[in-house]
Amino acid sequence: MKGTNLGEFEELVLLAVAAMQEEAYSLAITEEINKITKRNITFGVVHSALDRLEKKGFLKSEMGGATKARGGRRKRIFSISPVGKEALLKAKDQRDQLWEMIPDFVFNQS
Amino acid sequence: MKKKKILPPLWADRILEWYCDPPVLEDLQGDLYERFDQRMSRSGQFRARLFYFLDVLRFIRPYTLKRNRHSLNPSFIFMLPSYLKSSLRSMGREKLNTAVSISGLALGLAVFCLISLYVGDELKYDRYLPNAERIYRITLSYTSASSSEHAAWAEPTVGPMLMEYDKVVASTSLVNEKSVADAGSQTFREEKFFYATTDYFHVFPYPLVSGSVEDFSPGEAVIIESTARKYFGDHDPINQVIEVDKKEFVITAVLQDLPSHTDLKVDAILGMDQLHEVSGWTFNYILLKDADDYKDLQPKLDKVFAESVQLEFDDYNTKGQYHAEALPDVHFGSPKLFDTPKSSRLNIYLFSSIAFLILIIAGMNHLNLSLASATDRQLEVGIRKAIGAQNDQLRFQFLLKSILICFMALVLSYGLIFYCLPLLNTLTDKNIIWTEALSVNMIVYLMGSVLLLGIVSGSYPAFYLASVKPIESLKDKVSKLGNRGLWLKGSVVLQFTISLALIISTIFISRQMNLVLSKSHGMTVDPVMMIDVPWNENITGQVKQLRNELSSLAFVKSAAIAGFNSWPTTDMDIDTYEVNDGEDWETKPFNNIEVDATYFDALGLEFIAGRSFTPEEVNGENETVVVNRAMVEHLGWKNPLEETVAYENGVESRVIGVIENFNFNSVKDQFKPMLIFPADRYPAKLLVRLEAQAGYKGLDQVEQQWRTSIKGQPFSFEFLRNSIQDQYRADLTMQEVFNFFVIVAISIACLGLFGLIAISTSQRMREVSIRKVFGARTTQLWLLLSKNYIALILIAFIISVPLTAIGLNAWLEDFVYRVPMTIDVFVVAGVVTILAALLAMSIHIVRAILVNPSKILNHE
Repeated sequence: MKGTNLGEFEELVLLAVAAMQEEAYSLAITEEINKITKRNITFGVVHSALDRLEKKGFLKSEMGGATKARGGRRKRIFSISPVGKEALLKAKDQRDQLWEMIPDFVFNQS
Repeated sequence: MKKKKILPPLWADRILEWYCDPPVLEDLQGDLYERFDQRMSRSGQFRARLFYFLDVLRFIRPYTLKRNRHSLNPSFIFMLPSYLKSSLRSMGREKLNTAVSISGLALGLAVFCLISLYVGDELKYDRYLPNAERIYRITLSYTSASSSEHAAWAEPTVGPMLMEYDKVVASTSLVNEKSVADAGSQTFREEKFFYATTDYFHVFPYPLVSGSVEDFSPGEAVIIESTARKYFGDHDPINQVIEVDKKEFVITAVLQDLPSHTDLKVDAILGMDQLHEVSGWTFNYILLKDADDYKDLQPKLDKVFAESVQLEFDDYNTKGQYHAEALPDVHFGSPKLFDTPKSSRLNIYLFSSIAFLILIIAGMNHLNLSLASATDRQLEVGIRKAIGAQNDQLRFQFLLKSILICFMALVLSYGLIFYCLPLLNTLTDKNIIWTEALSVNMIVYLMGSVLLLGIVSGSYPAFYLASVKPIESLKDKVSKLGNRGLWLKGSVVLQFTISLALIISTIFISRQMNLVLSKSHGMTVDPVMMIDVPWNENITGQVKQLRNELSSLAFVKSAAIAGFNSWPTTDMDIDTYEVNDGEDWETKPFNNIEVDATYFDALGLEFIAGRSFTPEEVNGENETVVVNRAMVEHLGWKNPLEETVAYENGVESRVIGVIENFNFNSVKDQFKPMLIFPADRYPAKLLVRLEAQAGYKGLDQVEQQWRTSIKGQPFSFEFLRNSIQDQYRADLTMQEVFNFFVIVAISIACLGLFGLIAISTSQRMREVSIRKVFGARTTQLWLLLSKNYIALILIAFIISVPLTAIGLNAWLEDFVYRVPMTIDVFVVAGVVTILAALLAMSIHIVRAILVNPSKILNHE
C-alpha cells in the first residue's frame, strides 16, 4: 500500500507533533525539527506539510486558547489521528524489521 | 514590555488578509506575528518588517488562497496560458482588425510620448541649477504718454544696490554683444559670448570640467567645453589667451556644455569689473538667501528705483518700476524687450490636449474594433460558459486580449518614437536624446497609459461578451453589430469631429502664417541679405566702400547700412524727443533708428510724402529725419513736412519725408511711431537687396566681395525673411507640429473606419448578394454600404465647425492682420475628410460588390 507510506520529512513532522502534544503548533514544530535535525527547514515548508498531512487524515487540529502574544491570534494545535499513529507505527515497524536483519558485525567492525 | 508595541506593517497584513483563506488565516497570521517579534529582538525593526512582507508573499500558495472567489480561484491562474493562447488565436483569425488596432494605437501612443517629451523638455527650462528657485532676474517696466514697455534689461547698478538688502546673497550683470573672438590661431564670430561681473558664478553655479571659478576676476574668461574644442582642439585651454573685440582674456576654467533647456545659452563668460563700457543696459540676476524671500523684495526694488533712475524718468514724464522674475518662470513669462526666447503656455496646453485627443481617437478605434469582432467570438463564449467558465474569468480573458494588443502597440510605438525623435528635434529646435524616451519615468508613464487604455477600451467588450447567454449563442442566435449601433455611431462621430477640427485649424493656421510672412510687413519680397558688421571703428570706412561696390553689381538692386537695432528685429532703441502735437511741445519716447540714404530702397519702403536723405545729410548731425505714417497720425500733424523734432541735447531735426507704415517689430503689434535718422557712422548690418533670381551665385559673389574688402572679419548673414520668421518661431513651430498631428489624427480615424467597414460589409455580404441577384446596380450598392458612415461624418462636420471657429477666433485675436474665416476652408476640410473616409472604405466595398453572389448564397 504505497499511498499510506510516509515520506522522510512527513515522518519527522508527524513524530514532532506526537512528541510535542499541547505545544504542537506550526512555528514551534518548525523550531523543534530544526533544533533536532540541525537542518534549516523553512517555516513555509513545515506549514504546507502540516496542511497536507491534515488533508490526508494523518493529523487533526483544533484552535487553542487566545493569548496576548501573536497579536491576540489563537494557535492551531495539531494532534495525531489514529491513521497517523498507524502510519507511524507501520513505518517504525518496517524500520525495526530491517534493523533486525542487519548482522551484528556490520556496526561492530570499528 | 511596557513600551509601545511595534507591529508588523499594516499594508502587508492587508495583503495577507486579502488573499488568505479565513480558516487558515488566523493561526498563520499569529505565527507570522510571533516570527516578527522574534526578528524584532534579533535583527531590528527594518529587517523584521521586510521579512514579514516576504513571508506574506511566500505564503501565497494554492492551499492558503481563498476558495469562494473566482478571481482568485486557483484554476483562474492555471487558465492563464489558455486565455493567452485563445487571445493570440483570435488575433491571428482577425489579422486585419488586429493590425488596424495595433497600428492605430501605436501611432497614438507614439504621438503621446513625443508630445510628452516635448512638453517635459519645455517645462524643464532653467530648472537644472540646484539654486534655480532662488535666482531672480530684475526687469524694468516704464509707461509714458505714448507707449508702455517692459524691458528684460535694466541698469547694471541695480544688483549692487540690492546687495545692501541682507536677503540678497549675490548679484551679477551680464550682456552679450556680437563679437569677434580670436584664439589659438582661430577666428570666429560669436553671438553667445557674455560679458559679466565677477560674481557671476556665485549666482550660476555651473558644473566645471577643469580650472576654478572661485576667484573669477576681470580680464579672465570661462568657456564651455565645445567652445574650448572649437578654438583649441585637444589642447588644454587653461591659461590660454582669447582675444574678444581687441580685449584680451585669460581662460581660467572650462564649463560642461550647458543643457539645451536653458534660455541663457552661454558659450563663454568674460569677466569685467564694470559693464558700463560695453552697455548701459544689461541682464541683471540676483541670488536670494531663501526662495521665499522674494515676497519682501518688491518694496526694496521700489526703493532702489526711487534712489537711482526715478529722477531721470520724472524728467520725461515717464513712470517706471523694477520687477523680479524667478529664473524658472522666465521661459513662460510675457515677452519683454531684449528678452531671451520664450515659449507659450498656450502651445503647451494645446499640444497636451491634442495628445490626449489623439490617444482617445486611437482608444476608440481599438474599442470599436474589438466590440465589432466580439460578435464572432460569441460562439466561443457560449462553449466556454457551457463547460463552466465564470463571468469573471471571461471578463478577465477579454481584458487580457485588450491589454495584450495595447502592449504590442507600445512596442511598435517605440519604433515610431525613435524614428520621429530626430524630426521633432529639428522641427522644434530641441536636443532631446533618445534615452529620454526610455527613462524609467517615461516607461512607467507609458505603461500606465497603456494599461489604462487596455482596461478602459477592453472592459466594454469584456462585459458585453461575458453577458452573452450560452443557450442563445450556441443556437446561433448571435446578436449582430447593429445592436451596439448607437455606441459605434457616437464614437465615429466623435473621432471625426476631432479630426475635422484639427484639419480646419491647420488650414487656417497655415493661411494666417502665410499672410503674416508674405505681404503684410510692408517690405520688399525680394531676397534681402542682412550681413553682420562687427563693431570695429577701423572698418567703418571699408564697410561704406563695400556698400558702394555691391550696389554696382548687376544682380544687386540696392545696398544700405543700418545702425544698431535699425533693421527689422524685435528689439528697439527708444529715446525721448520733444515733439509738437499741434497744441503743445511735449516730451515723448519714440523708437528711433539710424540708416543711410539707400536704406528705404534696400527694404522697398514707400514714401507717401517728401524724400529720402542726401549723402550730405547722412554725414551731418541729424538735421533731418524721416517719420512713418503712424507718427503723423499719432501727433495729428497736418503738414508733416513742416514739423521738427528735438532731441534732449538740443539738436533739432526737420521732417523731410513720410514713409508708409511697415512692420518693423512684429506683425502681431500695431504700427508704432518711428523716427528714422540719417547716419552710417556705426554700421551694425549691411543690407543687400538682391534680384529675385540672383540665387546662390549672387550670395557667393557678395561673400567674395566681403572677403576681399574687409580682411580678417568673418562673414555671416541671414535673410530678412528668415529673420522675420524667427519672430514667429513659436507660431510657425505650432503650424508644423499641427500639420503632423492632423495627418496622424486623420489616419487613425480612417484606420478605424477601415476596420469597421470591413466588419459591417462582411456581415452584410448576404444582403449585398441578394440585392445583386435582384439586379441592384454598383452605384446603388456603394451608396447602400457607405451612406451610414458618410452621414456620421456630416454630423461630425456640423458639430466641429462652430467649435473650431470659436477656438480659432481666440488664437487670431493676437494678430493685427487676420485672415477672414471663409466658408471654403470648412468645405475643403469636409470634402477632404469624406474623400479620405471613402478611400478607406472603398477596398471592402469593392470587394463586397465584386464577389460572385452564388459563392455567398451557396453556403446557405
